[in-house]
Amino acid sequence: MLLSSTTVGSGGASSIDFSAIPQTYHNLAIRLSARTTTSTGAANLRITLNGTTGTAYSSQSYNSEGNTATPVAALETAQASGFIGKVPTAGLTASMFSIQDIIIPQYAQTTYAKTLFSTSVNETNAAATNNFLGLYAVNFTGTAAISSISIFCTSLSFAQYTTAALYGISNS
Amino acid sequence: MTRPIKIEVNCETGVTSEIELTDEEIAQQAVDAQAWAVKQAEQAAEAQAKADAKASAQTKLAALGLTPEEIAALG
Repeated sequence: MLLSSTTVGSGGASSIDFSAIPQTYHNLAIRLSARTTTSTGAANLRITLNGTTGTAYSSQSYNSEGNTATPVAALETAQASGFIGKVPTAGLTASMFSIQDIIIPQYAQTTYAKTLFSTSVNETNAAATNNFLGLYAVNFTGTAAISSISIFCTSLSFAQYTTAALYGISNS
Repeated sequence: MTRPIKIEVNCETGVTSEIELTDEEIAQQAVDAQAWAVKQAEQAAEAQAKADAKASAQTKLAALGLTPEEIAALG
């Protein structure tokens, strides 16, 4: 069920935040289509949960870039946010946006740490460089139910027509 | 100069708000960007050092008489 969605306006936005998330579903899903207003190359897409930063996130990613023969694995530990994808910046082909599907299982449980995963496509419709297809798994040490989510590219702004939609998924 | 904003979507009320970033949030962005640049530079330097070491090893192996196929077979 669609809970909320938004589209970034002409002024851009440094983050998209979902708050007051109802605790009545089993899983959450977010579908994002994004681009940034400045910078070059592919920007890293990040997530924080419940406003928590510090060292609460560890991320494992596998990224396949168009001009490389094998996927690249990368591990981040004890970070202030989770790594969930790549987003085209203003320096890449105009009007190209990323697409991310982010799943947060059992977001409302209050006993265990949380995990989430993301599939991410950063298509540039140009040279192979910066065309990324990636899988991302994030561990979040917080045990509280997730009531807010923030998605951003560090120090960059999402461009106009970036869209994000939050879904609640029931199991009954 | 226009202050950067964030978009907050309240799932309970359905209200979407555009909120200007505070001075603290803007300062934190700068700190985060600097930390990210440092990390990127470290990773690039590490990758270059690894590539340089591999090239050096391959040159030494060739000097010992190994063929390019034999060197490649070592991985």
